[in-house]
Amino acid sequence: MKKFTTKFIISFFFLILSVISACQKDDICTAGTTPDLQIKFFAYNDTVEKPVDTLYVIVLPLQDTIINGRNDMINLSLALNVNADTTNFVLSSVHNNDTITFRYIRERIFVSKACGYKINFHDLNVDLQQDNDNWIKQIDILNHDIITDTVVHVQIYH
Amino acid sequence: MRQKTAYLYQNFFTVKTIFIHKYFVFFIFYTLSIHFFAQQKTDSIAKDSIVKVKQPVKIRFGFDTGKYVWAKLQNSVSYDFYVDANFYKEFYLLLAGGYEKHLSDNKLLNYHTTGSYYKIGIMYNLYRNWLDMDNDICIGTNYAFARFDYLLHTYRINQPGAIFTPEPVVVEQTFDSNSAQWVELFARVQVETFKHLYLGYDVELKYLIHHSNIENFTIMYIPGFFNKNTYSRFGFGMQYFISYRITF
Repeated sequence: MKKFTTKFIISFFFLILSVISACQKDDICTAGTTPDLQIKFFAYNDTVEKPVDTLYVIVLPLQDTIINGRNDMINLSLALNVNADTTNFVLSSVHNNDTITFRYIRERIFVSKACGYKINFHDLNVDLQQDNDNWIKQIDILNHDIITDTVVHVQIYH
Repeated sequence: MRQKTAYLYQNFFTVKTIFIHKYFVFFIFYTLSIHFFAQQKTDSIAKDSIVKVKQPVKIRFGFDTGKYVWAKLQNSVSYDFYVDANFYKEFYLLLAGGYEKHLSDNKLLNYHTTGSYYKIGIMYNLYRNWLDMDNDICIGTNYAFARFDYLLHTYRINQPGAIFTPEPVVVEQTFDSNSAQWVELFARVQVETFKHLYLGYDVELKYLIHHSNIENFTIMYIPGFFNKNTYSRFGFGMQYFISYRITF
């Protein structure tokens, strides 16, 4: 019993405590982040999903091409501008450009130390720029609040 | 005095030097000390008066050098002081306090934590010194509390779907009057290098008891407790410090 002096016990106790405290969950972002706008394409005057021919999506004013000539897109995920109240997109199908503008109200929410801030969008509105030949016939907003990625927010008929 | 020097020289590789080599990297210290001697009043009735010499009460003042230098290198400010007093046999009373202005930047958030903390605790010296040597190996507990503010400079929205990560937004937003309390278990080594100069190192295990809540923000850094993990109440710290005793 002489081996287990008070000093030994106390030191051992400290060691165990240090080991326990060191086992902390990693601080990585698992909670929510800013959701993207979810769009689904339908055939005009119908409830059938219809993919777009040769879809290009360009974000203005940076002129960055997000989608490059895809043929099979029924669902589209767009990241809205978090530092402004509107975002302009040019959607083109078979070289026919249509400009749509989304307007929204941003709400800044703190998630966690690892995730930082995210934005939830409210009161979503969309404008379609009318020109001689719109391939987009109608735009419906199902959800005016963009809070999650899992629901469809906007339906586009073409 | 000569005898003492000779003794020290002969025993160069004593426990003291082993301590220095084993535990410390920096080596630049000078000390002062306070010794209080008290003589007990003798009984006027008794014939023989036995003079009792009380154990000297040792008081040390110290400050944290490691953190001070480290903070300067990181564009922050950190002052930490402590006082310890030997009040009974091997027990010491420890009082500590500090002020910190710490910059945190984790790519998403850039903010300053400004505040102060205070600690009070008791520690027990495990080491039995030889002759005139005065070293400690202590373990003890502390109770600490802190008051601090956050100043959020810039944030960047977390949007993984975006092609280009969003630009940082400058917002000088303050979150005032936050508080936190915690307990600490610590182990500490203090060695007398030159006369009355002590060089010390300690490790602390902290457990957060309570912290205030903030709207649309969270407690991420606490002066004295350092970084707070989102999922845990435990914290860890270590210090390199110098202490001196003042004689008068």
